[in-house]
Amino acid sequence: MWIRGLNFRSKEYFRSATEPLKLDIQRNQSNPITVSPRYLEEVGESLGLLNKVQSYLQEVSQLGLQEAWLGLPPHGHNRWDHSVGAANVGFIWLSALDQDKRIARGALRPPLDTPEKIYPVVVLSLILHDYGHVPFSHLFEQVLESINWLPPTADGSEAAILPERLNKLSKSFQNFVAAYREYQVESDDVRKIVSSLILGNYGMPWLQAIVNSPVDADKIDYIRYDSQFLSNAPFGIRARLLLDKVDQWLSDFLSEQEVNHAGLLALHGRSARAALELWEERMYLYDRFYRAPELRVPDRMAFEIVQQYLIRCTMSKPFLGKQASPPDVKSRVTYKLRGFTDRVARQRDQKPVDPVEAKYRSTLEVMLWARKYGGTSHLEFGILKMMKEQLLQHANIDESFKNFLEECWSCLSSLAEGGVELRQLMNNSLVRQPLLVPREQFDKAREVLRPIQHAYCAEALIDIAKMPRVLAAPKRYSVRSLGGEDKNQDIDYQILVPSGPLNSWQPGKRASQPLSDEVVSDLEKKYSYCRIIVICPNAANTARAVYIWDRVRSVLIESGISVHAMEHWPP
Amino acid sequence: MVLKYGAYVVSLNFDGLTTKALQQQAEGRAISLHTAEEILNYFCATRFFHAEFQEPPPAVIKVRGDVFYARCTQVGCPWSTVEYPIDRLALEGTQQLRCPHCSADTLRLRFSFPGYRAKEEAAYPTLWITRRFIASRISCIIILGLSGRWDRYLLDFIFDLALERRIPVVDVKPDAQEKEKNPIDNFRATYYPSIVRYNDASKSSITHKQECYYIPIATSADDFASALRQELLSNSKETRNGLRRQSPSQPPLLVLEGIQ
Repeated sequence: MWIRGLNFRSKEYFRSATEPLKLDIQRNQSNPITVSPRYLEEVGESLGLLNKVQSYLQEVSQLGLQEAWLGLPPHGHNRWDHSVGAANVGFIWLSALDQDKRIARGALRPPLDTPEKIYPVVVLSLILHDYGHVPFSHLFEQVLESINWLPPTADGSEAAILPERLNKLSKSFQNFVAAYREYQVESDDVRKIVSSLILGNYGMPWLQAIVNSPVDADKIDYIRYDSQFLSNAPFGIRARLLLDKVDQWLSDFLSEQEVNHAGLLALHGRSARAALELWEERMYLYDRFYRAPELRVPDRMAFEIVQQYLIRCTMSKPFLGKQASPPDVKSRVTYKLRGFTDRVARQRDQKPVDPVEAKYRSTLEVMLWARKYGGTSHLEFGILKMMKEQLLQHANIDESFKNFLEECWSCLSSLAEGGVELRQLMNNSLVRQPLLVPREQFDKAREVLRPIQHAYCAEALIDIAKMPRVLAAPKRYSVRSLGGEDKNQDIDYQILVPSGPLNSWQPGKRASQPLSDEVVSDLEKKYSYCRIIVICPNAANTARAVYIWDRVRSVLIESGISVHAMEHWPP
Repeated sequence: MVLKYGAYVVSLNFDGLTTKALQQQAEGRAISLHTAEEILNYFCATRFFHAEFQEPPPAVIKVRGDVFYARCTQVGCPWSTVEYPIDRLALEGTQQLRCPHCSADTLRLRFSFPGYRAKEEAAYPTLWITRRFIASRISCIIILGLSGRWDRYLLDFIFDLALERRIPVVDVKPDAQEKEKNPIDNFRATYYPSIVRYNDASKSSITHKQECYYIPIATSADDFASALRQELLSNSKETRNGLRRQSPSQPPLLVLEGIQ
């Protein structure tokens, strides 16, 4: 069965099935834009999307393990609700551009050459935008990055998983094609369009801006959704941008924007100002919530369990032999890695096996397989428990390290079960204050800290968390300036914003330059750091823990890395 | 293709024939863009605050060729310090170049051969800003009739772009298949060996996965362009080379035309 239309309407954006959303944004103020929830439901119904998509996304919590750390049930805050919210934002956004005739003719290209054809594609893409996430999602990628198992060409685990998962939805795409025969596209083309839009390489910049860009519908909705979540969470941070009055912010954001002849999304004055507020809010949430030291303490403990499990599961044949994994996973994993260098040497004429790629693929398979261990209440926590148990049962792991993992697990389980509060765990486990190093020295800091982490692996965990870029683009590409030999990385030009300093973006100011990292460098400066913390589970105040913290700091200073201890800590 | 399919033309020719041809097709509205600033201004044009806004005309992006600019030799003329694109100069009845500023016949063509620092410095910003605007939209780079013998910086740019975006490079010229006589293929083999030459062995993978390949096609630019046009019109699934038709996810093409 497929998902019925009414499931595509979010109550956060449409109060009822009959009441249209009015956005006072048309240039002729007497005639505001009205977005019909009926039309949204019709579009949703016609997609013919299989029910399994909804049930999969409902299982995955929006914030992963962080919800467990806050002691909250995950099912109330899941990826399905967020995906529906994002689809609603995309639909409203497109309606505003379409109804006010703000899309230039040259910006529409076959097969999406009319707005009517674009509505269902946008809704479908945004509903499926998180469908490529594996358990632990961002934590999983951080683990792979930390052990250098992320291939340089990989655009994240999502890019590896999503196409395969979409292949399994062929029935849905056939339903889509049957509902929209006038598109004259095949189901395979629909799948490719949706996949490209989600991964950020579709050839229509303005449409790409709605689905995956620094200011896309996904970010607009997750900031609203997580802000709402925070307002009920036992965590001392509240959102500053009141996205619970979402139509007010959306009206601002949509009021002065258009799609120009070259297909670029131009954000003039008020719209650019609203986008800036969104970026500021996102960075604030990363700084104070997603990557706050309070949450990084349990995250790092979970990170260690996942990392140890994945390394052993991929590299250790005895460990694999002990696993309860099905033979196909075991054989594939071991086949890929066993003697691969010999195979390369023998098969010089054939394409060599890339060891990083092989490890990466193997870990993806393991993570997908591990889903079945997800608990009934919390998917990731159930998997984490399974990983911990497998590690503790393995004979080849040092006893002192097993004890350390056990200590980490006891902290995590008491946190999830409400036996201890997050603040209490932080006081017991976070050694002194966090250290700040410049973001551009992240790689160097990670490498110089690696031996320290190995030396004290059974006593402490060292966490290094990098703040994200202000502009979260799907990918950054080479740019080279006049006569410059050095290449930098920056985003593609998709969005236009006003010129001048950010505080000069005011209503009525015309968009006249492309959005790039350089444009938002003033905002970027505030957040261009990494935070390093030292964690000793339930032993933060011991002399040994303080000694390790001192070692970490002195190693960083000796390596020429600029280090500052965070002032006013604890907050 | 520019008018109907939204292709972007990057022209290396020193004359204004491409712009002229486009103007004829587009009722005199075509323009040529010569500098990074002009390209930026073109792509950033918007109508929101302009009641009388008209869609900008189709444009040809001109990268500086061998003989390209004119400069006035009249001392004191403002144009004696400015290099002016010759495709913007209208030839009078005498077919003699006259300075539009001082009206004297003292306008001289400026030669800038490949390898001249000034030429490469002028070409790079133009190419790079074009890349930032349109690289995300291209599924294939088609080089039409470019020898490549004198344009190493351009070849570096093309292969670097292809490698980064994992898109194929199609090289169309009559002797494209002759490895020894093809400077583009030699350049690829020397500096970008990871971009493999397309052959029958790679045929199966290119149909399923977008990858970076070098595909020489031995035919004339005219024949290729008309075949491509037919292909786009017929909207068929397979081309005669066994390639999948242009992916709907990345519609426009980047066409580089040049002199042989």
